[in-house]
Amino acid sequence: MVLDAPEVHATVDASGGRIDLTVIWLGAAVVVPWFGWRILDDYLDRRSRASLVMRRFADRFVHEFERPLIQQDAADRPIRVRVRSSRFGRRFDILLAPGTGRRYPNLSDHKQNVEYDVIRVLQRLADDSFVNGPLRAHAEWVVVPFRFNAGPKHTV
Amino acid sequence: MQILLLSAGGGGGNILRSVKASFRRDLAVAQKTDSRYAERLRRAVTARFLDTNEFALSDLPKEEQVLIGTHTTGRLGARHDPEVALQALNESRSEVEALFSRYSIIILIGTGGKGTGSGTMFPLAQIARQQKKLVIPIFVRPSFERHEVDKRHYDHAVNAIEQFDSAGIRLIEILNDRGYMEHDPQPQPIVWERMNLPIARGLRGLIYVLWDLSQVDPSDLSMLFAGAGRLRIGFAEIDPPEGGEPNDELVEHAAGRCCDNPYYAFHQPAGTSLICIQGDWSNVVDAKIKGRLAAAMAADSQSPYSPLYARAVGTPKPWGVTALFAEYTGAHRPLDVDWSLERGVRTTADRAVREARDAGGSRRAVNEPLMAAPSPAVAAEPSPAAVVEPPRAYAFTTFWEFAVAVNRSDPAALALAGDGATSDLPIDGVELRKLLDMMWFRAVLARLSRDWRERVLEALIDGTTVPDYAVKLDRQTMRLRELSYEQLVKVGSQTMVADWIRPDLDLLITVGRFWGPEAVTRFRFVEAPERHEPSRMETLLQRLRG
Repeated sequence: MVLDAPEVHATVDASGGRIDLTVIWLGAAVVVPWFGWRILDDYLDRRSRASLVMRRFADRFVHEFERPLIQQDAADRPIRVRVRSSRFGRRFDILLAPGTGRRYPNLSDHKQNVEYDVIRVLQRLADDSFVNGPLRAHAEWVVVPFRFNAGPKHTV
Repeated sequence: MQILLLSAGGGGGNILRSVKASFRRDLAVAQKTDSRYAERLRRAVTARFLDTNEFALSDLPKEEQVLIGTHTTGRLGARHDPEVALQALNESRSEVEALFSRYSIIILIGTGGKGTGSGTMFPLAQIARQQKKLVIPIFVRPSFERHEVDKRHYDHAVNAIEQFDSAGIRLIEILNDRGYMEHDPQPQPIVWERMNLPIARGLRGLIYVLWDLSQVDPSDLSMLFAGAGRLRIGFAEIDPPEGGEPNDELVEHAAGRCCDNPYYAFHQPAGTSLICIQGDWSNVVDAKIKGRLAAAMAADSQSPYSPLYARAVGTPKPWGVTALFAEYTGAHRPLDVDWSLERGVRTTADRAVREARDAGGSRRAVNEPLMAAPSPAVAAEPSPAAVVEPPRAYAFTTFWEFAVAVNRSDPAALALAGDGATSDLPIDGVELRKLLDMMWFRAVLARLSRDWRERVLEALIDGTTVPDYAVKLDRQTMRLRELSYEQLVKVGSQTMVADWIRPDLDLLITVGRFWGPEAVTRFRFVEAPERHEPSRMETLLQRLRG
């Protein structure tokens, strides 16, 4: 006696009806990339937001750092600034160097002053999402390293 | 004019010592040429050294020491903490207020070094402002880049400067950073001398002007010091050959030096400024100095530079030009400065002079030693006799001279102003009209006796005829003789009046204000010459062109 084997290209839906597998494959072909895209988009969005937050923090940091150094009638900025961030992580460095004709900041003869100043600025900004590391010198620059810990206020 | 020079803290004290030494040298020179003048000047200026550290004041005469916060600091200083200095000032606030109350102009000198200067300079200026004094703060921003202070103390100094700006108090800010020149390194004492000498010399010139307000209109001073921003003071010596005039080169050099001090913070173009010229030379040289200064300040038709000129008479050498420039930071409401104290002091002197004269001139005036009136922290208020000079023979040849002397509180002039209506001092009506246009003369009028005032009014009426111009009032055309004092005021303030009418209208209003509305009717009015009366539009255009 030969039994009828069930058809392999069909399945049974909840109501007992048959659904074409092609539909499932097609569905998966849409849904999986869609989810993938959502995840990627979410990642890029978070990264972009984190970058924005870090950039804003760096701007505020620099603004407060240089505020007491500004002399009304000086044409140039009192400090030179660069910001560099790691490609994938949430680490970034603010690099500071004296402006034209200035001597501060530097770690050779103003280490204590720079350390005090960084603490002062962080206290003023009062943003505990950013944790700074030990200062180091890189050529003429003072490197102030930071790590960004995204908190609830930074989540989407 | 009573001027207080007050230093706050050690750094400010060092600058004030330098200023005081310079002033004392000037007095010694003046003493040889005009001892009475030197004496009056000496008593007009008082120096006090405020500190939290008793040791820092130990080299000074007791009466010049103002030790604050003895309980807070244990007389040992503010422990390099501006907060402690502020507490010390709060502890001694009443003594400081009592000190300030005796002066009209308060010049504060402090540095943002460690504690006392940074912590007290702004609160001291606030106290002075609250008492409606004219306050001129001189504050030194230290250099932390050159390790004069650490960054923390530098930030305290910056904070004090920001407080001045927020409160709209102008200050002279000196940048110590500028004292370090890589291309021309100098020992520190030389740099300090370079910084302090212009302050001392500049203040000296300023003191001569402020001391004698007949040279400057007080309302102009209220404009000059109004609003936030920086002031810059400069002095340049002009030493002409004996008996000769300064040449163009000397004038040019002086104007350049006056505007060129590199130590001051001064960013905006100069607005209302005070130029004081000291020296016995012609008005031609004065004009050159004014022109060169304007050129040095890059003043043009668009520039807000608006100088007030004053001439300090009888000043000892070094002669030259002193300039106090104020940054133009917009239009500000004039400061409300209370000058009534000056009148109060003069009244005291006046009364005492009369008492002295009544006693046959035998009463001996009590003179203070150089800059040594009792300190409020250690002594009681000075007795009225402390501001008295013995009366001397009247020596005024013109009414103008007499008025200037009254304004200077010259005791002889005050005595004459009290009851000298019978004196044979001639009063020229034309001269009197010019005097009435001057703000300082109004203060003089208030100090003349009733008889004097009546005599002045009679001289004015006798020497003046007023053209009976037609003016518009409430759409009606009326003649000046028909208007009451109130209507004259209304015309003066609410309607556009042709330029040729304005002087006579102002004269009538001034007379009404000082002698009462009835006095206006006593003038002789004559028929006004026929003139084309411009339309409103023409008047407006005329004003715009002017």
